[in-house]
Amino acid sequence: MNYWLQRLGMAVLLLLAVSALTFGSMNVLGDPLFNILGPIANDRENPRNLVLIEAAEAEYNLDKPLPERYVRWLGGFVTGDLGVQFSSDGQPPVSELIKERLPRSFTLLVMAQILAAGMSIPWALWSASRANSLIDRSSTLMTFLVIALPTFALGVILKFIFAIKLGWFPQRYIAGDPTFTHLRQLFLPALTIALPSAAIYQRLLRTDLITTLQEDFILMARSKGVSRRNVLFKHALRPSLFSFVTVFGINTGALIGGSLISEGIFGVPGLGGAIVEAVAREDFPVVLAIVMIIAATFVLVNLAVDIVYSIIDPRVRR
Amino acid sequence: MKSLRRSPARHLVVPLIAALIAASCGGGDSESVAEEDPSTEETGTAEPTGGEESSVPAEESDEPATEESSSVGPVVETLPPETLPPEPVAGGTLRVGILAEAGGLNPAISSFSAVGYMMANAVFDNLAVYAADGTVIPYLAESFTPSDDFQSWQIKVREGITFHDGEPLNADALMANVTAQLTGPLVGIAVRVFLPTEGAVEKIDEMTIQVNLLQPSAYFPSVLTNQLGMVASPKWLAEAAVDPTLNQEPVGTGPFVFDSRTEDSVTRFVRNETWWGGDVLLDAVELYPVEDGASRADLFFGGELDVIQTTDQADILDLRDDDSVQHLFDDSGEESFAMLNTASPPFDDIRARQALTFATPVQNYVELIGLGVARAANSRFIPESPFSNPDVVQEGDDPEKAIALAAEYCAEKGDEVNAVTGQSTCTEGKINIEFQYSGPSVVQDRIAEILNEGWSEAFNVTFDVILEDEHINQTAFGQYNVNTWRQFGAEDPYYDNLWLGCSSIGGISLNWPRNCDEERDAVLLAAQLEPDATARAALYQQAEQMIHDAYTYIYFIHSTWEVGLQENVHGACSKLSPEGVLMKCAVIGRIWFDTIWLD
Repeated sequence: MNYWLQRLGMAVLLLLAVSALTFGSMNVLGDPLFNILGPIANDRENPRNLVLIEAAEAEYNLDKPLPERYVRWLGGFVTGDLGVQFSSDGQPPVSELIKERLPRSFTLLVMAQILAAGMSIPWALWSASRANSLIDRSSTLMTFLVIALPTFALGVILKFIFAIKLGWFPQRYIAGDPTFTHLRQLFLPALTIALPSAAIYQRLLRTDLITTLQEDFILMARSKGVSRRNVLFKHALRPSLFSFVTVFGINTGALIGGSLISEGIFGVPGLGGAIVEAVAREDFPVVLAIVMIIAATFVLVNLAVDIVYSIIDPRVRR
Repeated sequence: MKSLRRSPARHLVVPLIAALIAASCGGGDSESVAEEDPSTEETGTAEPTGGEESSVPAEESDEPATEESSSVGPVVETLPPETLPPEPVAGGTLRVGILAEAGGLNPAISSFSAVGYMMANAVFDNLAVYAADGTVIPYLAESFTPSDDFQSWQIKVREGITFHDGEPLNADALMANVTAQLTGPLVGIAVRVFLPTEGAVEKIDEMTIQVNLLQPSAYFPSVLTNQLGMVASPKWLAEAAVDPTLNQEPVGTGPFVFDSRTEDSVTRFVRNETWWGGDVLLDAVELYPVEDGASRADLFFGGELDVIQTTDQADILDLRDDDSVQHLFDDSGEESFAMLNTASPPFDDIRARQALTFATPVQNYVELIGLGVARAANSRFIPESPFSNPDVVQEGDDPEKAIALAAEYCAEKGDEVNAVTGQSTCTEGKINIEFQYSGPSVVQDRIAEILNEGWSEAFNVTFDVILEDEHINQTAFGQYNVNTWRQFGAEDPYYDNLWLGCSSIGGISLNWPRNCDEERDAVLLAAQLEPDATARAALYQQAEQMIHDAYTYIYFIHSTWEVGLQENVHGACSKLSPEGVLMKCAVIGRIWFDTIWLD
């Protein structure tokens, strides 16, 4: 119990540190008034514009000291108020943007990770069971090729083959379409993310499997006449999953906001595009909200990874 | 050609070319540049505009024009003559690929770019529109009546029109719109050039308002052909002021009603069954922002889009090569140029400005950036415009003159300080300047390279690459030496006075080069009061010579816009005003939706 409380405390501290750093850097670097008022934000010499500037500063607490603004923002954040977007087209709530975009990024992430895991585990088992054979070496070459290929190039190639040439999938995500259609529309962007991830997972798992297959208990199992398949699936796989699960967890957190390139190529309006746009526009309430979502995802997934560790190897609990 | 279009390599190359063409004005890195550029707020071409026609009630307008009889003026290429099936067919959804996502869709709050106008066309009607022959005609308005001195104009709207939310269109609605525009932080900057902050508008009767101008103008209705003439529901304007999310859900009187919007994906409008202008044929219009020009073209050629707009030269060539595609080309709506800040050294001295002009590799720019599609520009008007002065020729490609002028300048003023760089204005006989452009952008970098190849003969050029918003900001505040920009091309040059007048210079300057010439202002004022079209054109030609002689702009190309339409899309350019006058279309990629039908 103490262990979990300690982990929880660490997670809260981590989120506080991330939010403070992000809040500080965005406020030091940017001028949110420009987003709200346009060029007149700098025209303090004009009395009419000065009135607008001061009104905007008061409304959005921009006239308050940085620590006070941070505390106000944090108070709002923990009660579910993510603030408003700093945009010259009005200041709609950040929560509206998050509500719209998060499900898409989340679906993309889940699809990509399912695809990556679904490809990498059998691939690693297959490779490890034929370690150092020509097939294994070809497989290694293939993983390096996929890892080395930049995501944008991979996305364009997949789009060209499967969407443009073969017409199996749509070229672009369309937000208004029904849910089932969305899954089809998200397949190629998910595959673009999944392939490099699958190659990395495959490399890790293959290496761990080869090490495990050289353990004495495997030799014992083999000498008892357990079939090769059973040795692989029932005896070797589970103890080889530690590195895989760790990287899978880290990657999950990274992908929630880091699928920008894939989103861009296939026109998926997700969190990746939103955060890049928000950084460029210095719209820091949006940046903060997305950074916090990514950080929280990291923390939650890593907690989940710890739980999975204890399932894979009960000794971890002790 | 099609195989080239489908090549994956092209996906990587074409965005660069696209941005190369679309750049300037701070550049951005693709066609989306125009989206955030206040200088592109206005749309239109440099067509002659008979102000006197616009000052009469609609009932007294010219004879109804037919599609066959009407000229489209400076639009260089238009739809080939269509062999229309006997009956237009109702139904279907038009899928339109646009250059980028529009910001907000509130004409009183959001500064519309070209794509903003495209979307707004569906849901809003303008008080005035351009006829195909370039004259301004009433549309949502019934009449425009000027005072004798053109200091004020009465605008009477048509009766029996309601907004999509059931609110009536009347004088109160107009008053609410003008007031909202005047107080809008962004839109207000442009409106306040024409209207005073106090007493700008008065209610005359239930359907008529009077607009009082800052400066008299015989051509004021031309301003109402753009965003400032779009009328939104007053109820919605009030609600949107409280709930900004409504800025994305516009309510107008237009042929289509807002249905749904997912930013960066799709905005959908559905048919207005009770539109005052008549029957609308399409069930719906869907607009898809696709920033990458190659992807947009692929979607179009793959049949996933019915219409695309593009400024990408390579895609323009592809559209032209495909006989099954209809295309509308226009290069009258914008100019690409370099702009020199005359408020501080070194370009406060005309010799330095002349030196930069002569050093500019204009020919290289036209060839390498224009790619044979864009025409070289000599001024802010295309050659077909009556306002174009044939004697005005853009100089350049003359390094010897540039070197001599720079040496002369440096001998006299080489010890002055360049406020932008903080260094002396000259080093070893060359003038030190900073070239500012927006980025990061490979395309803008390429433009900078091309320009520097010429400029380096007489200038030591440093580069300042900044984000587009900041680029606009610094330009507005005069914190630059020279930059690249995209602007002008208003259908009626009266609107472009906004960028040229001495009164536009201040803390924030819309006269970006901060070049005040009272004599030129007098000519421009005379032009906006001159009712005779020929005399007016002569005045603008005179002003054009004066602009040239000030050496504040170095024109490169007339920016190109193309709309591609699938074979089954009909009626894109056959919209008539209520009085039966054919309206202009396809300027900076803007088409009308209500007359379109699909077979």
